[in-house]
Amino acid sequence: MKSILCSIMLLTLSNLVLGQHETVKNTRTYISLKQYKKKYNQPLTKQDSIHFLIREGDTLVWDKNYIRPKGKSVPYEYKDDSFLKLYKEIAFRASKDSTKKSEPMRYWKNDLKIFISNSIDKKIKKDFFNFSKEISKNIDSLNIKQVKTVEESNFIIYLTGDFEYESRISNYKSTDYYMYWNGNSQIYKTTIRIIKEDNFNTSLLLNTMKDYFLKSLGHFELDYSLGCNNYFSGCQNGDVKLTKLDLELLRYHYSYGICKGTNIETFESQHEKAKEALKKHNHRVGFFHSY
Amino acid sequence: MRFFLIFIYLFFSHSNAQIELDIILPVNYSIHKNKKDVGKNNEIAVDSVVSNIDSTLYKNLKNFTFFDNKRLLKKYSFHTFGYSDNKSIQQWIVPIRVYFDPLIDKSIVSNFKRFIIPFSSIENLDISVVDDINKANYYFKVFDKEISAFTHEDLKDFSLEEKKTLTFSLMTYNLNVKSNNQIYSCIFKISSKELENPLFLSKLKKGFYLSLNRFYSSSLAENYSILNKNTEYVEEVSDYDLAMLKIHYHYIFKTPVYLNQFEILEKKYHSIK
Repeated sequence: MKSILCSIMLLTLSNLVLGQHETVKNTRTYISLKQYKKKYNQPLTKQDSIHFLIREGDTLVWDKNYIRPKGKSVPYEYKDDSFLKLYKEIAFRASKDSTKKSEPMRYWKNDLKIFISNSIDKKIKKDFFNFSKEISKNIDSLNIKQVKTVEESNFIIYLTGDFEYESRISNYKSTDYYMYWNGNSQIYKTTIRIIKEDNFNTSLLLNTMKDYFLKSLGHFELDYSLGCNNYFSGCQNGDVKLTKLDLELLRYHYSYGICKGTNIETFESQHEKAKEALKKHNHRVGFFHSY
Repeated sequence: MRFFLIFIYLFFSHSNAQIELDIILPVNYSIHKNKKDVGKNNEIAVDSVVSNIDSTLYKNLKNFTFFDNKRLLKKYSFHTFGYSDNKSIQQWIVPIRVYFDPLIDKSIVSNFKRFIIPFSSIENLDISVVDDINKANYYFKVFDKEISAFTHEDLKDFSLEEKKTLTFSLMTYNLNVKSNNQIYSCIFKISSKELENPLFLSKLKKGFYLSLNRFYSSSLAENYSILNKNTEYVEEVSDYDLAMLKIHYHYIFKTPVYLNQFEILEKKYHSIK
């Protein structure tokens, strides 16, 4: 539903130039004749025709009864094709293998509240949270907190031999994560289960925690064609760390300058329209996000 | 006309090899900060990302002289890919630092240290034994329970004596790999009762060698080679085993290389040498 709402706003509010994260007020919403007929199932009046608006050959009608949900509109964030190609492979799991289907992008809308099981050394926890804080600091709409109890958490990291917090992966032979998302592709719970034997020292364990944590921020697919200095290449050797490009990919994933939780087709068509508006009219369309 | 057709054929066959090879070439990206004026004194970032294919592999390809040795290459292909199209080359991408469980006798450790000396001649492969587990990424660990790479069903037709010679009847290893299938750590699990087996050291050496690429053994490998299925006792690494490692670690691939891509590399090598 959220993605549908986003698309409508793209089509109907394209004439509005809005400030960053500005709350939408005193605006009129226009819809196409087709949408009007479907919504109201009654003929247009003379009064309606006075408020017709022509945009790129299409007649738009003022939807007087439209009640805008509470939310914010964020201007389109431009990215060039080369970046988008890479982003799509990572976020939409749009593999080069044409037999595999892409998936909608997944993201965290609420704050991440991370609980790490007590069997993990305090020093490792501290280093892990320093790493996650650094990410949180660099990405506006991604808030990461440490919590002391499982009950407060929506993100758990534990080792084999601990209480099995996630029964669906409790018999896995390899380290893995299990995540839950709702119909809007918003992730609301994740559990990382780490095989203790495989991660037999501090450095291996810390890097595994960082690795799976990063993947779980968007159920990302790593792109091994990317240079190995980048985390998102999946071939980084040594400690897990983020390059400028990795951070930009994460930051963009959590940017509201495009609709969230969409499938790849919607994402592509929105970019096409938004880029056209920028090129032809030198203005940015707004993306409305309801609370 | 005939020459024209040959030219067209060569041009397209070359182009196809190029396209397929591009899949295994990594890409370097760089972000360039740009701005665009959107009126009312507003500017937005219209950063562009430039991608460049890393052609280091192309540049190095002329040095892949092992492609000239058809006999050895055929054996390497089998030991690495087996009969599978889904098995890619697996290489260690970090120096291997081996740590032994204190339950393993010191004489075994000393013998193992001598065993790995010839490996120092292999390019891109660095192996040493460490005393601190925190510096290790390869752990020979003893378990006080039965560990095996086989199920009871797999072993039901083997006699007790036969089981004793099977490398992984009471041992197994887990390789931890990156998304591109390259190896960064390993835990080698040993059942405590295997420590009593007179063949323990030999089996440890075999298992360690195989974990350098998840190699497949074969009865076609040279006699006395670790890779020969019929070799029962291993004292030292053979020239054949080292030759296989030399091919294997000649170049560290950044992306998974499957048999068909390996064959493309071979064709490409012959076309440019």
